[in-house]
Amino acid sequence: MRGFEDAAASLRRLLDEHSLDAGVRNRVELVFEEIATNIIRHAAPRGEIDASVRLDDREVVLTFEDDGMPFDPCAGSASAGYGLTLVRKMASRLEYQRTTQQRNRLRVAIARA
Amino acid sequence: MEITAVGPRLVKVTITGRLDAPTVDSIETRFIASLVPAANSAVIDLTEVDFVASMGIRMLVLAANSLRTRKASIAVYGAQERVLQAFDAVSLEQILPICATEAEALAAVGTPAQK
Repeated sequence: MRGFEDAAASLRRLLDEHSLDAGVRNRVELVFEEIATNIIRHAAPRGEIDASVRLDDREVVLTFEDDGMPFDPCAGSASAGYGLTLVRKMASRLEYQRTTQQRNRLRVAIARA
Repeated sequence: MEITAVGPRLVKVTITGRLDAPTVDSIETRFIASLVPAANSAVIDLTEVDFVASMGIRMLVLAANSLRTRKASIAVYGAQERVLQAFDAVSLEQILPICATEAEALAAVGTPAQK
C-alpha cells in the first residue's frame, strides 16, 4: 500500500492548496480511497494505476486508469459493497470506458456546490 | 488505538487519525481479537478520527455482527461531521448505534454511565 499512501498524501497536499468546502473535500478523499484500493486489491494488484485530478469552479474530477480486469462500477449489476456505495453516493458523475488499449478508464466528478 | 477495560465484559476502544485502508490493515486483527472471542461489548470513541473509508466501516460492521451472535454489542460515539457523512451514506445506523456521547453509547450497549 506504500504507493497508495504516497498518492493519497499527494492528493491531500493538492487539496490543501484549494479552498474546498470540508464536505466536498471529504467526498474527494473518499472517492480516491475507494477507487484506488479497489483497483489495488481486485483489478490490478500487480499493475500500475495512473491517477489524475482536475479542479474547476464547479467540480473536482478524479481520473483513474489501470490495466486490470474490466470492471464497470457504473453498471447496475456491479455488486455494491460499502466502497462502491460510498463512491456512488459521493459522485455527481461516473464515466467508465474500456479503452482500445484494453485499459480501464474511470472518471469520477464530485460537485463543489 | 487504545483498548481499556471499563467493566465486566465491557471495553472502551479509542481510535485516532484516519480509519482508512492502511490503518485498518494494521489494527483490525487486534480490534477484533479484543472484542469477539471474549464476547466483550464495546463503546468506540471516534472523537479523534478525521476520516473513515469503507474498510473502517466494514471493520465496525464485522465486529457488530460477530458480537450480536454472542449476545454482546458495540456502539460508536463522538464522530465528526465528515465521518458521519460516510456513515450516513451506507446507513450504518441500521447496523449499530451511532451516538453523540460516551454516556449514550454506554446506554446503547446496556451499561448506564457511572455517575
